[in-house]
Amino acid sequence: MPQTTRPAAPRAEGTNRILRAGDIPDAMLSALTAAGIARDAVLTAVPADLSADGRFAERWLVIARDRVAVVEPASAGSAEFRTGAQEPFKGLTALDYRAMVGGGVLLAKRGEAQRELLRCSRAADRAVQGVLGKLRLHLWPELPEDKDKKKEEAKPAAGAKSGEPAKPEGGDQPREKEKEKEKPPREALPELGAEAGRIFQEQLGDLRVQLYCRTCGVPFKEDSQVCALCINPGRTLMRVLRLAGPYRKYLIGLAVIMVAGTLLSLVPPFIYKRLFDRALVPQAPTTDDERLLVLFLCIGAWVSVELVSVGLRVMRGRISVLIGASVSRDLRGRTFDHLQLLSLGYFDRHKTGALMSRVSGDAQHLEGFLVDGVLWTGVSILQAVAVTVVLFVVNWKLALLVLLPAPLVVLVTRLVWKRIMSRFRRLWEVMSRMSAALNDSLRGVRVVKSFGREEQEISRFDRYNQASRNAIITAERTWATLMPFIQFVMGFGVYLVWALGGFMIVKGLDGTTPGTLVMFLGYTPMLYGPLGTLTQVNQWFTRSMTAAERIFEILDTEPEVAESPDAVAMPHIKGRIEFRNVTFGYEKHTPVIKHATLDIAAGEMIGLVGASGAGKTTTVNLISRLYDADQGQLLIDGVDVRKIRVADLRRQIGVVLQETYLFSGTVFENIAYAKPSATREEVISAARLANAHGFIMDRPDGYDSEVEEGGNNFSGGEKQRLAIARAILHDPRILILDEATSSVDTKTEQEIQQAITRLTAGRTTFAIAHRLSTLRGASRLVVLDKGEIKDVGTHEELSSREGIYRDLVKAHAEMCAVVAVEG
Amino acid sequence: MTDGENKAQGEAQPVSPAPAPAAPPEKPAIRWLEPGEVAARWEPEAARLCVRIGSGEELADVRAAMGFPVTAPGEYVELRDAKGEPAGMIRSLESLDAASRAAVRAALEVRYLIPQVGAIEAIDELRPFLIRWRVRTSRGERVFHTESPREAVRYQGADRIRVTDLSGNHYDFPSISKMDDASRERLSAIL
Repeated sequence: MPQTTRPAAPRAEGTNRILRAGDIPDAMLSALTAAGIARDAVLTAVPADLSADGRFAERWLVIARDRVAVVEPASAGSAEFRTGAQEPFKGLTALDYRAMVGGGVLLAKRGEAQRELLRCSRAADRAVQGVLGKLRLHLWPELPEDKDKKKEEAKPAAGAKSGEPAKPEGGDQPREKEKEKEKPPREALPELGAEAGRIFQEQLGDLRVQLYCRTCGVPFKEDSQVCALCINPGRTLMRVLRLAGPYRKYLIGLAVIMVAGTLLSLVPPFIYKRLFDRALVPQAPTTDDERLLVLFLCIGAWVSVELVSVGLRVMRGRISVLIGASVSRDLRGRTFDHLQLLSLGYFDRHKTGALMSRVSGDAQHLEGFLVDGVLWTGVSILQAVAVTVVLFVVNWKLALLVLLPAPLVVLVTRLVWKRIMSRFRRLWEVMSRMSAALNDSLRGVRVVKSFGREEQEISRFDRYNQASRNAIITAERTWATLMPFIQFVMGFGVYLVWALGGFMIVKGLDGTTPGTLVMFLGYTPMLYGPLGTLTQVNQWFTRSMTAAERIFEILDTEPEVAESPDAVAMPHIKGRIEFRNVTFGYEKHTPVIKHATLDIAAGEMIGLVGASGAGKTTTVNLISRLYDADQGQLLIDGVDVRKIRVADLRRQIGVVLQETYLFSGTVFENIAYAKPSATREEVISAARLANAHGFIMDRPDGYDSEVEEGGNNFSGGEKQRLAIARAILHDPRILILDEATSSVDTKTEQEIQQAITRLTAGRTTFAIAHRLSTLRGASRLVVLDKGEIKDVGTHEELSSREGIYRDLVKAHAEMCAVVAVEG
Repeated sequence: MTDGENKAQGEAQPVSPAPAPAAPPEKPAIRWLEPGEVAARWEPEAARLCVRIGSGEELADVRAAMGFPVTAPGEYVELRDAKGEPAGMIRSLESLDAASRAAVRAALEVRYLIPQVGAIEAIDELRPFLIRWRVRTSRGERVFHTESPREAVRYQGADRIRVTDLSGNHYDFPSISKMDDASRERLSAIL
């Protein structure tokens, strides 16, 4: 059974909105019954979102045992339904979902006649397509004669093991194939039986379709299991903090320092009070000497407190950076490690840029939050609470006055900050576009110069530059205008304290002294500062927790191609490969390989031929176990590939791809990539066999030559030969050559061909090439068309009969003629 | 495929992988359809476009596709037969007679399901990475959710944007400057 990508953590709170029979609302069932569809015949209802005239509207595609039907609300916003178009399965020749731009259309076909049943946008079309894919398997099941034909094709080619050409197939076969082409389209089975209906409903669980949050209904991002609105930040924070577990002692130290620092920050205003009431404006008769003593004692205490505070701040900053950077490193490391374990399918579905952003950007964001966010939030909350308590203890009337403008300050800060942030977001967007334009222009400088388009590039950059200037001015002007206003509002408390405190001193109320007033004036900013900070914390916190969720989503994804618990060690693979009725699709409802059956003897060289998109690369990807088959079995030396230890399998499969990727490093390191323990002599020998030694030695630094980003300082042919050298050193039992000689000139191709011949000797080899001449050494050729194996045989056999291969050879011949003429 | 090509295929002889030079193949050329040469009709029930080109047979289930759907939506419309083979290209829909123009437009209407946004009722930032849009489009009112503008908005020139929601649906904002003041204000708050 294929394994599916499902997060391990119980966070999949999404629903695909496909209704099972038991979940279909009664009103919908009533509408169906009224239209002649029995309740117990209804299997599922799939949501769609466009009306027949293309407007957004609620629609449901209902699959019953004997028909499909479209159901819609009786009127806009109504809870009642009515049944629209219906198509009984009897006589149906196709349920054709036609992908359009931004959605799709479902057509029901009866021979030449067709009828539009449903339209939907992309939000709905994955569900509709998925369900239809499963339905088709039951309506048009594989016929026994198809199965027999597949069995025939399953037989290994005669003489294949001995390397002799396989016997040509019967002479009547081409004619039979022609007949097959002329066959009218098959009609669907008139209805799904009880068993088929049950299986169909079960299969709906496998669909990978758009998910919506069960709680709030917001759609999940494609392939995401997280609702951006309903993430539980508290739970995520706990998970983030658990990551800081190894640094517990630092965390405790940090907490102690924060509390001590906050308490210490409350001391200076007390000192001001003493300073004023005992030294500067004494409230009781005292001598000048006593006043001066108090003055210097107060100043000494103040400086001492500040010195200790500075020390605590330094320690706090250093510890929090240590924790933040360490947690961030751990998170980045774990994410990268886990990404390395994930299957290729995961990378097909996620853009590299987005993954890079998660590994570096989100981790950095989280680090910022742990270092600054947690720290400032903690300090701010502690300080605000402590100051409030002290103020109320000293003089509750003044304390109330200080707090009076607090709601206004919070409100204004939020509003103003929102406005400022929107301007800065625009600025970042504009700067990012300018940066992209700059990057584009500089990377493409050769093209720019070749076509003499410097002026055009200058003008393009000027436009972005001007837009950046405007955005900077707008953002900075907003900042410059609104920030003083915020500061003014935050000063309100101070004005009120001055006014009422001054009044109380003048009137001698409540024994208020100048010292008390000065103390309150000292505490007021200590209250409003944190309040300003705390208005931003919510947004910061949510953003950080979303970043954390995005990382956890990767960590929770299980590899599709995982090692089986009962995997067997196969240190010495011989190289026999069998495909037994293998079906595979990157999207499960759209198979790319269909019922492939093939037996390959150890040491055979198989050429895979067919048009682009025929399934050649997918076939070799299955052999490498970059993906697992959805149905059927792939065996190596008689063992199911899923039961072979992944490390053993990968160690004995070598690949030379069309797009050879060279890593940054030296030529030596790149050749030795698959065998880091290789000696210099081994690397040189491999390069020599790959016809790479010559051009390597022509370089001033020989094998120590640096490979630039993506191998840009090597030609296509050189890169190919380095890849072949890498494969020779790897010494695999099974070799895959995917368009290994494309995009090179004839002389280079000859050199590469020579190298390949040396490489393939004694190994089971699969070669994919558009240039059929590359496959001249193949013992058998496998012709693929739209994911099906159409023919198998030697070049002579295949070209002696009509079919795809002969067409390809003919096309190849014409192309060679053109090259010859143009060359 | 032409008759000539079919015949050539049928008579093909076994060839070797290193073939002798053959005659150069024909250069592929666009078949430009002249005004008056195209007679199209639309079958709404079947969502099918049928086209007769010149005096040839009527082609059923023709697909119409725009060459420049963003910058010149009514021009350079290609017609392809049911097998996907190009039947010809129309320089401008305006050159067709009214009935044919309406038929091709109906086919394009089915093919291009991307709604055009004319006004923005509300844009709410529900979370830092989640924005809810309520818009009026050419296909009716719609509420959709996107990530932050950085991920969701693509600029197509100075006055046009395309927004992609969480489900992968695209929304075309063909002219920001032509939107009402309130819509522009709402957009400028996030862009």
